[in-house]
Formats: sequence, C-alpha cells, structure tokens
Amino acid sequence: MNAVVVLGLRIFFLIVLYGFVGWISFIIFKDLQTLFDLKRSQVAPIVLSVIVNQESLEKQYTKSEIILGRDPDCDLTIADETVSLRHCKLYYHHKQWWVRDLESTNGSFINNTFIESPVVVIDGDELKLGKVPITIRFDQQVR
Amino acid sequence: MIVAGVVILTYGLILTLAPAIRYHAGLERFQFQHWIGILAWFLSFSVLHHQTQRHLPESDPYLLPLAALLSGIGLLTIWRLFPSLGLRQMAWLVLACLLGLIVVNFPRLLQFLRRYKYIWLVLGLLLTGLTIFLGTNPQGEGSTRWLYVFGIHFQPSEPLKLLLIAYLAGFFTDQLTVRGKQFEVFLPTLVVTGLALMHLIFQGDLGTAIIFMLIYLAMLFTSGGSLWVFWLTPVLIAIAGLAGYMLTDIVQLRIDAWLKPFSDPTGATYQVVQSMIAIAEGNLIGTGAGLGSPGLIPVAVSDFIFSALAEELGLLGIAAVIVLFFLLIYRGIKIAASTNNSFYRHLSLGLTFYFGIQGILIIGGNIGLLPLTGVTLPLLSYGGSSLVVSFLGVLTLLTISHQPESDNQTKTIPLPRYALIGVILVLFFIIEIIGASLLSFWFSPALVDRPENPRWIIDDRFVQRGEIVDRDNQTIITNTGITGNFSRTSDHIPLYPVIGYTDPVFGQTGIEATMFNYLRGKIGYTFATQFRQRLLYNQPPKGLDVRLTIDLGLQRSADDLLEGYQGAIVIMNAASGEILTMASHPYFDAAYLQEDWDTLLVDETAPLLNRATQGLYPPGATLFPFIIIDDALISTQLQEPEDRLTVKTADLNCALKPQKPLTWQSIIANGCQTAQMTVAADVGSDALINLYADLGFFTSPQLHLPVADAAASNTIDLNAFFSGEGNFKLSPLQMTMAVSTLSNQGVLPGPRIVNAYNDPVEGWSTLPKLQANVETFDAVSINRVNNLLRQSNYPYWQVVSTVMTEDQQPVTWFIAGTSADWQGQPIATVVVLELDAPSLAESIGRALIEEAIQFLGQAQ
Repeated sequence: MNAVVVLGLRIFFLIVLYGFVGWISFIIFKDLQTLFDLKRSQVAPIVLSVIVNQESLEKQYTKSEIILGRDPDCDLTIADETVSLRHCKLYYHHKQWWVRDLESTNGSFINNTFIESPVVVIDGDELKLGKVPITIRFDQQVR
Repeated sequence: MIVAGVVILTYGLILTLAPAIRYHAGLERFQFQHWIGILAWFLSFSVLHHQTQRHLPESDPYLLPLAALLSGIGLLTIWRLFPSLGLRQMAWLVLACLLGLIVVNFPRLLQFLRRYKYIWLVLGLLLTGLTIFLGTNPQGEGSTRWLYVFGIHFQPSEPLKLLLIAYLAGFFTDQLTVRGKQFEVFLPTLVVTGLALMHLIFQGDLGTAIIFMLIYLAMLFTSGGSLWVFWLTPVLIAIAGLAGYMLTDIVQLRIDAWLKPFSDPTGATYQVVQSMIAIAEGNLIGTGAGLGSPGLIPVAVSDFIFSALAEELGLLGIAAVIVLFFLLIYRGIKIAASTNNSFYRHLSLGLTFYFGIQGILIIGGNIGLLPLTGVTLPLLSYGGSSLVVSFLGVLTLLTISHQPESDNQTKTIPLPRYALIGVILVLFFIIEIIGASLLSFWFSPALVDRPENPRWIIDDRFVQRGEIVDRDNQTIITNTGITGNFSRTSDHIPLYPVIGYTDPVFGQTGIEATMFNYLRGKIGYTFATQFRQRLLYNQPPKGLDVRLTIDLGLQRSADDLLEGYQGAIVIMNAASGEILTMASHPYFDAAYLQEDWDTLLVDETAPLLNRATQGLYPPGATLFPFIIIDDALISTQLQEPEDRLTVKTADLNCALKPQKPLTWQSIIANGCQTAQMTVAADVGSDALINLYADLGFFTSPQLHLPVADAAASNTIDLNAFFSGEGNFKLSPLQMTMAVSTLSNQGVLPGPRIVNAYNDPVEGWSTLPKLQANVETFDAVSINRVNNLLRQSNYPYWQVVSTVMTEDQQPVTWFIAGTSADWQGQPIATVVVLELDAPSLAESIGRALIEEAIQFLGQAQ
C-alpha cells in the first residue's frame, strides 16, 4: 500500500519537476520568439552610398548599429584622411535611425548641419564625415 | 518559486516513506530527520526571495528558483546518503544564503570587486598558496587542498574561481577602451592565470585547473580576442591532456579509465564502472528516492552525486537536472546580453561559463563521456566552499540583472560570440543527456548484470532467499534475521562445501552460486510480478526454495563416519543419477567465513574445496572391474587366476590380503594392482582409452555444481592407464558414475544434485538434468562382471584399493554397488580417504551402502 503511494509520489515529483522546467522553458521560448520578431521587424534596412577616391560604394545593412570610420574594423570603412578612425555611429532606436558623432576630429554633418547630439536621419539625407559625403536611403520595400 | 517548493516537499515526503517500503514495515520506519533540512531550505529561500523582491525588483525572476531547486535536490540527496553530512550541508546552505543577503542588500559591493581586483586576486592566490604549507584534508589523508579555520574545512580554490573571474572581467573592461588585440595586452592575465594554474597543478587539483583554463580562454574569446583563441582551445586541451598523461600518474590513470572503462573494474576504473552501473540501475524513472543503493558509488555525495541522483530519480530526473543547468546558463547569457555595463557583462559571462564548464566536466565524468575530474557539481554536491561560491555566483548574476540601463558604455562584445559559447555549452549538455540515456536503456541490462554490481548483496539482506531442502523437504539452509539483516543458516554444517557460501567480499560457490537465479526469485516469477516488485520496492520477489537430491539422514551418517578424516563420499542412485549423499571433509562453516577466511585460504587441507567434485585422485586398482568388462574369460571365471598371472601371490600388491584360494573375485575386490596391470596390458592401451572415454573419465560431469576439469586422454602416460597411478586422476563423482554402470545394466547415469524448485504457481517443478543417461555397455557383459564380484551374503559388490599420488600421498578408495539381481533402486557408493586405510574405508563404505539400501533401496 505504502509502496503504491510512494510510486504515485515519485511520478508526481517528476511531473512537478518537469512542470517547473517546462514553465521556465516556455517563458524562455516566448522570450526568444519576441527577440527574433523584434530583430526581424524593427530594423529597417538602410543603404549607404559613398564615393571615395572616385570609386562608388553602396552597402545595405540590416543590423541595428553601424560604425563608420577609417578603421578597417568599422562596418563602413572610408579611406579618407579627413575621416577619423571611428568617426560616427548610425543606430536604430525607437523605430528610427539616429546618427551620433564619436568625437571625431573633423566632425560629422547631416545636410551640412554639424552634429552635436544624436539626431534622427530620414530617407535621402546627406551625411558628411569630414569632407566625404554619404547618401542615406532606406529600403522601403522590405519595410 | 512555489513550484520548486512543491518539488522539494514531494522529494522529502518520498524520503520519509521510502525506508518503510524497503523494510516492508509501517510507521516505525518512517524517516523524519531530513525535514529539518527542508525547513531550513524553506526559511532561507523565503527570506532571500523576499529580500530580492524588495531590493532588486527588476532582477531576473528565474535565477533564484533555479538555484533553490538545484540546491534543494542536492541537500536532500546528501541527506539521504549520509544524514550527518546533510546536516552540515544545511548549515552551509544557510550561511550561503546569509552571505547572499549581503550581496543583495549592497549591490554596490560588486564595484569593489572591480576596483580592487588585484588585491582580491592576490588575496585569493595567497590563501590558496597557504594550502601548500597549512593544507589539510577533511578525510584525513590525500591531497591537502583545504584550510582548517575555526573548526571548518574550507577549500580556497573555490573562491579563487570567483576572484579570478572578477579579475579577468575587470581587466578586460579596462583594456577594451584601448581596443588592442595584441598579445602583449593580454600578457598580465596570462601571467595571473598561469600562476593560478601552476599552483593548482602543484596541488594536484587538476580538475579545477582545467576549469580555470577553459574559463580563461572563453572569457578571452568573448572579450574580443581573435578567433584563433576559439580554435586553439581544443588544441590546448589536447596538449594539456597529453602532457598530463606523460607526466603525472593520476592523469594517466584517469585517461586510461576513460578510454577503457572496463579494463580494471575492481581497481583503477572502479569508480567509473560503479557510477555507470548506478545510472543503468536507475532506468527511466529511477528506483525511487531512498529505495536505491547509491551509497555503493564511491564519493557519492560530492563527485558522483549525479550518478546517485540517476539511480534514484532515473533518466527523467537527471535530464531535468541537466535542463535546469542549461536554463541557468541561458539566463546567465541573457543577463550578459541585456546589461549595458561592460564589467558586469564580462563578470556574468565568466560566472555562466563557470557553471556550464564545471557542470559539463563532472557530469561527463560521471557518465564516462569525459575523463573523470574530481570537481563538484555546482549547487548540488556536498562541499561548503563550493556551495557558498556557487551561491555567490548566482546572486551576483541576480544583482547584475537588476542594473538599470546606462547608455554611456558601448556594446563591445559581439553577441554571436557569447551566444556561440552558450550554444557549445548547451550542446555538451545535450550530448550528456544522450549519453546518460544510452546508459539507462541501451547498455542498462549489460551493466546491471556485471559482476561488479554488488546490489544483489543488498537485496539479500532485504529479501528472503529461497531455502535449500533435502529430498524429503527437510531444511538444509534457511534464512535468519529480520528484514534488512537477513543471513543464511545451515542445519547441517558439514554440507557447506557442497552448498557453498555467499559473501559480499568473497563471492559465491556451490549450489548458492549455480542456483542464484532461483534462490533470488529471478526465474520462476512472471515478468509482471518481477516488474511490479522492481517498480514498487526495487527488490526482487521472495526467493524460490530449491530441493536437492540429498538425503539428509544418509548425509548425516556419512559425515559422522568421515569426521576427523580427509576425504570424500558420494552415494548415488545408480539408475537416476541422483546424488543421495555428497560429503567432503574437512569442511567449513560459512557463518564464520569472514573471521576464518585467511586461515581457510592458506589451510593445506583445503576445507573450501568440494572434494567430491573438485578433488582429483588416481583411481589405482578400482579400474579392475571395468577393465574386465569385455574379458569373458575372466568375468565368467573360465580362467583361473594362476593360469593368467605369472607373479606370485605376495607380489600382487593388494590393498587387503586376498583369501586363499585365489579367485578373480577376491583379487579384484581387494585391489590387487599388479594383477590389474597384467590384465590391462593384455587389453591394450587403445581399447582402454576407449573404455575410459565411455565411462566418462575424460569428460567433466555436468550438474549444478562446480566440477574439476577432467583429465585429457592425450596428456596421460600410457602406464598410468594400466596401473591407475601417476597423472591419471578422477574425481569421486566421476568414479561414482562409472560404478553406477556396473549396477545399472551398463547405463552411465547423468548426475543430479538439484531436484526441483518451488514454482510460485506450479509448486515443485523438476529441473531437467544437465547431462542425460547414456547406454554405454551391453547389459550381458556388465552383469557378468557384477555377478563375478557379488558377495555371498550381501546384495552388493565392492572393491578396495590403495594408491600413491604423484607426490607420494596415499589414497584409499572404496567403491561398491548393488548386485544385478537387486530388486530395489540400484545404489552406487564411493569413499575416498586421503590416507592408507583400506579397512577403515571398507567399514565406512559398507556401513553407508547398507544404510542406503535399507532406507532407499526398499523405499519404492
């Protein structure tokens, strides 16, 4: 009799244990799902086109943070001496693209306005790093 | 949190009831001790949970329940194994929670870790360094990795892990502003880690050393070290392993044990094999908490707690534990990803790696997937230092998860990197779950049946084995004691060489060994019954009684007559091959086996040996009756001895002096060896070898007893076939079977000692003989010999013989069998004495065959 009770308890123990595991796993699953959804839906693809040394370059980005600069490690490398190693940063925040200067030597300009604090950029804006102009376009179709 | 509480309550409840089931007893066996631990666990975590809610409301809500559940399961498992250690673990748990409270209340403490990282690290290293000079070991011997302060043993290498992680985190954070990836930048960390490693290797704490190395490499990689760090890791591990293999014995031992776990299951690989057997015993849902025998696993409370869990909670239980670990890792990585403070990110990553790597290493070691490293399973294992440090780690993670977003620091660790490490850790855990399931299912039957699995000894103490009874169901061996303490008692001690012993250390022999499965109810019960018993009690059903062919009355007479001499007696029903009596002297008493073992082993008279089946003696002149089977001239007495034998009467070399006038009957009955040789030489060696082969002299008899290997015909000297001396030897059992042919119309009987077992449904069921009767000679020639040898006033024939063994020890044989015209059951009797005493052998043998004829011959 006792043995049957204990068998029941053993099974109950396993069920509760798995309930606990399952509950946390479920929450993690939900969590991951929203994370991926966020990534997929939120970041609007951005296209940067630049002409450096008579060479035209156009790149599309889907990540939420883009570093521009002369350093080869940057997301967009611009080999121009008026551009600092890490010059400025484009980042996606609250469903908008922002640009922030990373204390560059020659400064960053949006539509010829010096960037002091982060500003929102829109389709067709011209971003200037030192003396290099960069055109910003958003890929509307994906959106 | 509440769910975790329910799990622990259930576990505790099972542990309360389990002993009662084991002992098949009631309330008095309930176990309540561990509720103290549960109470302490509840209080500690309630307070901690409450405090976290108050001070860190934004913190990760899953970490604390995870840690609580793991440590609760660990605490109760330790309590179940060793209550005294459980109590100490409980004290450590409370202490860990108190320390945790401090961390929770003053989250700023973490910044001190960063600011004074060198001081902390040096302190840690110094403490660890102290163990070289002041180290002790709680077990009293072995490696000295502990410090003994204020009556507490404490292992400094555990907090050193935490301090090293904090130091590395601090260092990497500071370096990142420079963003250098050159080797020189990381040199200081390399030096510090190297120092710690050297120290640990010096102390022989190689498991911890490996963990340090892996944590260091993982942190280096995630902090922006180049990709080669990632690829270098397996190479480095291989190099370290190889170097360790070459240089240190312990690593060599561990790696060998890992590669070939079954090479030395009683020595070097003992731990791993026992651990694997325990996991195999667990199967799907385990034996049930408190119902298994995880205490048989060495160091079950710390290094092998995973196997202990596996045995009692089964595959489902340990899979859940592994999943809990990887949830912990997921939350850790998640925290690292969501914090914006670089130091915290490195710190939380380091801690996550610590839990992951250490868990993987020891679980892998337990299931034989990785070489064994003597590290603890974080949060679960016994060990105060480890528990406290694991807790501080979890609470640090908890504190970090609460940090408000501060946007002034850049994200410098690329997410895929630590996600990659996280995935690798989780992959390892998944592989380990697969490995454990292979052990619990695929390899389970093979592992459970391994001779190294000692669980049947535990079962023997809890479940009554079958009795062994004689042919009239008189008890020979029965059980005494109470549940949990059963032992065997004999009603006739001289029979022990035949019955054999059962001992946890020395193993089993005789009937106890050959009838193992019946005596323990492994055969005979239906699968459903077996399954039910295993599932509910983790015990086999009550053993089945076994009935022997021995007649206890006759056996007692034989043992009384043989008392004081060395030798053997076998009495057999010549028709059925049933062994009525089997005596072997000197004998032993299995009840005092442990005390007497050393003397028994070195005793030259070999009391442990069953001489009747395992003793081999040269047959001497007892071969005579068989040699003349085909010699019609002698067996029909057509030829007088004087015509055939040229030697004088005095040189006949007889055991007893034959009466005048010489007849073949008196020559054979009195064991005249020279006469036998003369006649045998006439028959010729080829014919003799065929004859002996027919009599079964070159084949080992098959019955439910261990027997000595029979002599091989091609290794025996030709002369020995004639004289019955030298290296031609027979066991008394073989001789008895041969004697039976003379009294049983030429049929060689298959021997039988086990008659039947008491089937739970069918009642007494006869077991088939292992060797069938064979019609060997035609009845006419056999009966001629039988008639030649018959005595005038007795219904049986007899032969006495003395012979010298190769090392000049005298042996006396007496063989006898019922006459051909005897109406009752035919009887064969053989007496062997290890001394020159033909008259004594004759008197013993005659008394016994007469008693046998009287009680059994007419019993039909």
